[in-house]
Amino acid sequence: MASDLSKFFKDRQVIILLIFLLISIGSIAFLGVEQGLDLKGGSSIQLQLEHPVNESTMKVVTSVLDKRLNLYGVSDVKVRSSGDQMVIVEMAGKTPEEVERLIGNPGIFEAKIDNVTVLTGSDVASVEAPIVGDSGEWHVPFTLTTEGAKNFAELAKGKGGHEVVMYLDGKQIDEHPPQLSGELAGGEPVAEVEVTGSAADVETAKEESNTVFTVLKTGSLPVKIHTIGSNTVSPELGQQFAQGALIAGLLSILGIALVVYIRYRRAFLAVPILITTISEIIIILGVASIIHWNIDLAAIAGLIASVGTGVDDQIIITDEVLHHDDENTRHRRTRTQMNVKNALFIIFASAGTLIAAMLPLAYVGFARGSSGIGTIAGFAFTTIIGVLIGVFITRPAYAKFIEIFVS
Amino acid sequence: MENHKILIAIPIILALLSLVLIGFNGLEQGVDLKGGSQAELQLLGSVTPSELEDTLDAKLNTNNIKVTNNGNNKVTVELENNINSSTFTSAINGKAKVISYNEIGPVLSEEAMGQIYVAMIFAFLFMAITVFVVFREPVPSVAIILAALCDILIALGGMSIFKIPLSIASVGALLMLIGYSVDTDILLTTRLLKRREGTVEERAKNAMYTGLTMSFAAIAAMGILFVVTKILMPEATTLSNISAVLVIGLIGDILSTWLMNLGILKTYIDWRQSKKQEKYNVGSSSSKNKSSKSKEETSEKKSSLKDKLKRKTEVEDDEVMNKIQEELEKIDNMEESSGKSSNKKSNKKQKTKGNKRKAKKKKGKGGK
Repeated sequence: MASDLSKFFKDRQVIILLIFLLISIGSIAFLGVEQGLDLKGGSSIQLQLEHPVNESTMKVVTSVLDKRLNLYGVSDVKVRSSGDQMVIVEMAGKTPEEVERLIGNPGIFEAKIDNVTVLTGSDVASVEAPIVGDSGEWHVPFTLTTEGAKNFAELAKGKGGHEVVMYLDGKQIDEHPPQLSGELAGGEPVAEVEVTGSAADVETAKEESNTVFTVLKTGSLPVKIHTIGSNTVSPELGQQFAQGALIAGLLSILGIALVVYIRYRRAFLAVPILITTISEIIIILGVASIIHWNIDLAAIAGLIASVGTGVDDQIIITDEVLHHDDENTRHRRTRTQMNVKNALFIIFASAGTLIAAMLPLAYVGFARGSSGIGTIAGFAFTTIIGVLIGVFITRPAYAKFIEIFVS
Repeated sequence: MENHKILIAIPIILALLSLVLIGFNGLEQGVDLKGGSQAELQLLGSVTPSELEDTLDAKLNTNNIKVTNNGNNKVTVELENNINSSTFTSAINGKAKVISYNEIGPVLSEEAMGQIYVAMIFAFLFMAITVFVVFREPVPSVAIILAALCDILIALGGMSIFKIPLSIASVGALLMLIGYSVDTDILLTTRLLKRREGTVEERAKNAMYTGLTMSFAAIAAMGILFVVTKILMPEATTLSNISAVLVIGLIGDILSTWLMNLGILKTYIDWRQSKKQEKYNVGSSSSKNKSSKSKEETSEKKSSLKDKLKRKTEVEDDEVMNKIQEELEKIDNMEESSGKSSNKKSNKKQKTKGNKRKAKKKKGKGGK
């Protein structure tokens, strides 16, 4: 028995399993597992652009939205594109009303001189990328519409040197507003204007100019946006989900153990099946933690699915070996090895089909980002990862266990 | 003898019944596929669900408001139209607290629906291709695919009966079901067609033990998941839908695997045997003579050997044949060393030679 034990722990498959387990536990402990919005609470909003746009326009749209949300002090916000016509915004700990108020409507840009609105978003025709000088000086050139330029010239007449305060949705964006240059106060309409400023260093300058750029852009987003869907889970409910899933998962594993025990009547077999199952879960979570994969309810379902097929496979291995255990007395070990090989054939075949069935779903999800079906792509992806881990790491180790201890 | 052929019909009839049921009873669609809004609310004060419904009816300009009581002062509200959450929150007028809100516009739901069809069709197609690649025999492969199809249909029928909506989550469950279904079918097919020890009946029985343990373990896990979810977090419909669909599908899978797939495989094996008997009448009759001469124990051994023989003639792939040849020799050697009577040994060797001849013959035919 002792020699069996040392043989077991010296086996390559078992060592691989142990290494993966250690790495996973370490990674979960230090990096943590990122929870999806439905577990930690938060909102996601799906926005649709009026028409498909190219990559650079999409980038402007996402950065404008990002900036706006940041201006409101919304932290932990993720804005990403999905395809060429959809944008998904995710943020933790916000109620749906707040979120929709923030991005459901177009941003309102205003510039005021002496509390009189001189420019609005609709007056801005286009905005050019900020220019930042080495000494921290920056310019954001932009063009006004003919109508806008005329209005501006009238309202700004004679106000050279006055502060031009910019607002986004009624909020002042700059503590030190720029001053109106004398050239613009002459009453003549000028279409090409720019906002200039200076900062202590290039980094700050970049930041400041970028803010101005985005704010100007907000009012004149290249394309109209409207909300097509939203999804909000309160933090309390998320927590309830997380706890519930944990309890359900543990009880499910116990249920599996019970069935296995009823079938074989040997704790000697139920325990390693349990251990294999739990290590499979730990390694899947470890992988998720390393690749920053969000674990949400769908991913948990995928986890359960792959663990379920894992148990199936362990039962197959056990039966292949046990069945022949009775009928042969000599050369048992060679037989056992053959039987384990037989079992592995079945296991690889069914793993192959399951992965084949899940691939299209995972592909659709990745191609489109997490809009709609994206949630279920998480399920498919987790299942595929789980099955791969099971087939290459945990199940061979379990087979080794059976091979060494049962025969 | 013929009853396994009758049993084949049972899962097929069930699957057809499911189709009829879906046709008449319809399938509910989740909010994520039909569009609309769904809210989980915690009622405040002594507001009753029906009061809430009245309030919503009056304030929201939408028809078809569905309020479901989840107990514990919690309700689920479903709206046919997608209403943004601020409108909704002002409509409930402080009578309840929104704990989750899901709003799906028609663009999203249509896209999800389209993607789901694509995913389902390709999933099934990829699964079928993999099965064909693994088994390379049309009848067993089709049987596996048919069993998976029956499982999905039965699960859909169950969804129709128990009003489980077709949603992104339940589609995930259906795909998962393909995985479980194929698991037991591959086990059965491998044990029946790729193994030699014991009779077909014995192998089927052993496969059934293993397969049923697998199914019951999965049913236990999913059943527990369902019950716990329903009790602890009725709002987590993703989990309760997935587990419910899987429990139904897994029960269907027990029927389709052990009634239909097993029946098809048995019929297939019988048919193959009779076809072979026709072809190699001389060879088989001579082996019959021999077996009738020997004792009971020997005849048992022979039946297993005959099985081996059968296996060999079926195999067309050279590699697999060589492997079997090696294994046969290994077993022979083992038996030799265990000191069996030389009589039996020579008997066996003769057979092995006979095998080779037959296999070659078959190959020659295939080449034509």
